[in-house]
Amino acid sequence: MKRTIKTVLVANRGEIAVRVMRTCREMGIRTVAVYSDIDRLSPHVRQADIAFHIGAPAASESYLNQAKILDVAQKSGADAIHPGYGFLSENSGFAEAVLAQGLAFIGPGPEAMRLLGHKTSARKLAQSLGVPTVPGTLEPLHSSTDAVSYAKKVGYPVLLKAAGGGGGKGMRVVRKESEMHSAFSTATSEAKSAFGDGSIFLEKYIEQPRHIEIQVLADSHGNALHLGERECSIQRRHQKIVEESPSPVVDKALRTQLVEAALQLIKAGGYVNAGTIEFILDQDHRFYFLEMNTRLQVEHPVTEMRTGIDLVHEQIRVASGEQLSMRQDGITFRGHAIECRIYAEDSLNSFLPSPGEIVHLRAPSGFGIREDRGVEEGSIISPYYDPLIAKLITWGNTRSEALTRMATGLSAYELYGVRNNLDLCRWIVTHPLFSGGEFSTTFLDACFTPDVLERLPDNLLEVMAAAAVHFVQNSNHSIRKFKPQAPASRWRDQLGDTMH
Amino acid sequence: MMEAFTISVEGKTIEIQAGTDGSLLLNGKPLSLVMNSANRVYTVASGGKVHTIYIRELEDHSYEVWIKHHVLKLDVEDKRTRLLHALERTSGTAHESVVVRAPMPGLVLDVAVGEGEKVSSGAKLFILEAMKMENEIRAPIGGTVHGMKVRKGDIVEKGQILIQLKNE
Repeated sequence: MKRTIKTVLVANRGEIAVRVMRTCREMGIRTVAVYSDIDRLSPHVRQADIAFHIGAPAASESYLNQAKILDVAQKSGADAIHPGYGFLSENSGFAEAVLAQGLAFIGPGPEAMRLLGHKTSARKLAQSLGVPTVPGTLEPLHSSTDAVSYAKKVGYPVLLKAAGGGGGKGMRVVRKESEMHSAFSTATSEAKSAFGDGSIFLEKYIEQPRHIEIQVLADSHGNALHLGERECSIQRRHQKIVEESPSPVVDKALRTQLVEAALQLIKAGGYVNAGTIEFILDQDHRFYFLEMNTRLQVEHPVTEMRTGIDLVHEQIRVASGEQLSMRQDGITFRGHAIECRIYAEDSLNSFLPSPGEIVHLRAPSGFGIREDRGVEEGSIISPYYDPLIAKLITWGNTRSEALTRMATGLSAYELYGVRNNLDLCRWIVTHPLFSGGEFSTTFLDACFTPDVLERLPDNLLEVMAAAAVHFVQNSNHSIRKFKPQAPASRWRDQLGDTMH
Repeated sequence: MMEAFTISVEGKTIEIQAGTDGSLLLNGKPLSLVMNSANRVYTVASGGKVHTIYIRELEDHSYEVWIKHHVLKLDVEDKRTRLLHALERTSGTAHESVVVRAPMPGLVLDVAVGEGEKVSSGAKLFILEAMKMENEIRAPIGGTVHGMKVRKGDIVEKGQILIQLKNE
């Protein structure tokens, strides 16, 4: 069914909302933003054609509030909803509700989302198609005793994983039987509090795994194609921070196999729109299907830089019932692209999120550099949402050119007021194991300690000291630190009201 | 006139003398520094290079400084704070008078002592509200209150003299 999409509601915030709106504007599509109390002055709100307040900062009161978002869709005359990533993007119930309201959902249909997005059903489908999966349970475990007997079958080490999970929550590596009981109960309680579902699966743990994923695109006319792989092995706390394409270890033969498996899965699952099939690679470069992400990924710009294809543009085309704008043989892969996720987190303190106000921000730009960001100077990184500040993406003719451009860009990036991982990212991309392509998802655990980060040269200590003296002398003669808050907040409230 | 500052950072000590005309001496040698501050961020030119620096006060005499990808904590002591610290160390034995200053800008919420009152070392003198926190200002030495400069409800600047304590 063909439909014209004239107004898109972006049910998200931050950099991904900004990024989706950019493509909408290029396509002449009107954009609708939704925002929580603390986002009322955020870039995604400012850049939208119209913005609606949807509730309190807590995601459950705002960006996860389906009824509110659907109500805004109706009020604003939106004919489609783009869910971005996170929040409601993989909620099949929400996709259903959007369709039931007569709107287009810019993503897969609810059935395909359920089938391929749920780990168990996706694994079953993969097995039925002969796509390799990591040996493991297909049903949730009932007790740690169950876990012990299953672990005996597949052999230690094993990995305990939450059914509804992601982002490393409810995940534990168990190396011997004596560790199972406590690991099982921690994983269960983490899963319960993070996803409201304490179901735990067990699978064989692959040592030194590499994370490789295939970007796919499919339309409702039966066209399905791939945009190559991304490698996302550099992770901390089981979350990606550096992604690149192509992978330094995937050769042509392996790529053919991965792509075939990915396309087989989405065709069998009736999947339409953009999606990502995730695999892990063991030390002998055997691959196993891990899961599918039934949405646009954080790291999608890496693929866009290499192929020149705007994934959001294709997503919107597909959602409006059109054919994809290209065919497989028309896609050319150029050079190498890499992305670093700049997070507000403290590398010196277990990568814990570090909220605060960005008081100074100067991002690099130029040939081969892309920066996707939903905050600016003066923005507050709040504890309510993901602490992603920006994504820095660089492109080069070769991997080494892309890495050099990334290292240079990171060095030039100034971000003050909020602790961040700029120095960690720079350390990674200049590390000999990383530049040599010799790494796995255990890279940071194995190689990173806070003392490896670059120290400040002594001459800069002196410059800092001199600036501090200047600061002390001047702050002694002013009361600028003492600012009454009331007038500013009143102004903010008024501005908020006029935006409805 | 030059004022001497001692900066402690990363276990190192840096001596800086600052003139009222903006001139700086680093460990006795002249330091050429061009500083431009806007929005709490400094642009500093030194030795043919330009740096962007952000400084914020953590607590009295303690500052957090951001430069490139580094965040460091600096302790800055000037003549006055050295004197105060010295007095605290010898409190009770000093025979001179001590000036009590506001350690931060704020609102005087309460004045706990009156002119001529005798107080012992550590006694509560004022409550100063700053950053929505109530801070107690206590007597660094025992003595008699002289020259009360502020009243309840006053807004004071950092370093402003509040009272003098005379040890008699």
